[in-house]
Amino acid sequence: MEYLFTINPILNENSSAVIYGCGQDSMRIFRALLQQHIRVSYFCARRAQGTHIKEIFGRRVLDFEELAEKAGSAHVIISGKNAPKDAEELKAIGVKNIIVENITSDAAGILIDDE
Amino acid sequence: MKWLRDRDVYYILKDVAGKKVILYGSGIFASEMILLLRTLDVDVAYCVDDAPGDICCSLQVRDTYALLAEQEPIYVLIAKKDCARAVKKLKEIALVPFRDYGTVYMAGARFKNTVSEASFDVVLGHSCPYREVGAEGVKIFGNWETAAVKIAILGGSTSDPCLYGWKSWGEIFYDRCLLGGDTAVVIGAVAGYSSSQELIKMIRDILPRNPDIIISYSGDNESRGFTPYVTSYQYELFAYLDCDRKGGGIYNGGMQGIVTGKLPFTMQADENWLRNQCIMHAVATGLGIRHVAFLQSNLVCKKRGAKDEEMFLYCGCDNIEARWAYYDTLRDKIKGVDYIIDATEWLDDADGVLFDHAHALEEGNRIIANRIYDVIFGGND
Repeated sequence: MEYLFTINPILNENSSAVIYGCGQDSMRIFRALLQQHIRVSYFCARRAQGTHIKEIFGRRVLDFEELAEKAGSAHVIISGKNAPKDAEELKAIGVKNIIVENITSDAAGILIDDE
Repeated sequence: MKWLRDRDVYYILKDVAGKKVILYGSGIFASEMILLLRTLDVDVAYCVDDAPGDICCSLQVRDTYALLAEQEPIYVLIAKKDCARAVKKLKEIALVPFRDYGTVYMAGARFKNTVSEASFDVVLGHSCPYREVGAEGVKIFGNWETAAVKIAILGGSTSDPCLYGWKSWGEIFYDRCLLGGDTAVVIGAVAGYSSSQELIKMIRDILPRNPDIIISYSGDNESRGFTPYVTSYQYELFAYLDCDRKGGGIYNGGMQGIVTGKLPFTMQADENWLRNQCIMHAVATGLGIRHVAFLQSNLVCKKRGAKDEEMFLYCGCDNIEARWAYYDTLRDKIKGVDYIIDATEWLDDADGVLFDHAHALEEGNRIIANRIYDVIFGGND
């Protein structure tokens, strides 16, 4: 049986990922990664998200300010139409290895790069 | 293929924490689970199966009876299609469900009974499981014939006495009533019922028993979409019956478009709930019975703590805005109604007491039971 979508080959079973955000989009990313046996180390609250969720699936939810320190060499996965802005903000605090999730990132449509 | 849902993953992680994890199974399903568990940082120590000797994902497959030799706390996760057989075997060696073992579909399995095990009800579609309550359609606590105070409870799954693997709020309420005197409680709440079914249930199954008090704890099922006086399960049942009737009978070979059961006018969910409570109140008080209704709390309308927010993510609640509006409108409408109590805030200060979007764990059920007891007997609220 073949799957329609596969994960970016940069990520594999030995990779570690941090999911940026802790809403329904993040849950969808977690499921996709889990299906491909890619480990998620942390979730991270968006800069202005103001969540008080402490953990998701036993993974700590980091504050935005902690992300650069904790992410290390992990791939930080961002999603949604604000991805370019999010990426800039993350780069500014020293986060590397940013990957944009680009499948059905909006509940009612597809994500396209309009730059 | 079957969905392993977010809530399943959550409950797997919760139950295996701090225990030696052993997988029951050695096939493709088991291999996939081992890989998933590794991804979730859960290491499986070894596998057991009815036919030992193989290797599964480089793990040894031992005989199931090897579990008897374990000294430390273990958790056996069943990853087999024939789950019932595995459960039987684990029961034989005296392991305790949800403490020592569980299936990978942990969330749903926590419910003792499911709607699919409900008995058929010719009027309401379905009722409490026959094997648990027989043809009564209600569960009775205490001696109904001799009790000094007789109380009836109606509602949906959140009040269902046959649904949970833990105490329902009605049972806890009964325990507390007993401390105050000779009381019997009859619970006619059934998973999937909205206020329309409560009303019918009251007329048919409750009023003939002459209770002193009728309590209704509901509201959530209406907020998730409803068809007045007919449950979605009734449509399912008729569609199922139709499979054997194609080409003949009174249905003339097809149910599509000829099933009746819809009201000839549109009514909002909040109006429907309020109207049915009003009818229940009129009928009950007309017969000299005290009737009190409670608009229930759930994860949508409750003030959520950190654990609640986490659970909210796993439940994938939909139509949030519409449901918010439903509760807002209803809370406003019941302000001047003396027999309806707004219970939507009762669980606000208790973080993590909900099993999912609406159903409370025993701790939550205890809060609900105590608050209702106080309203009924203590004059609070």
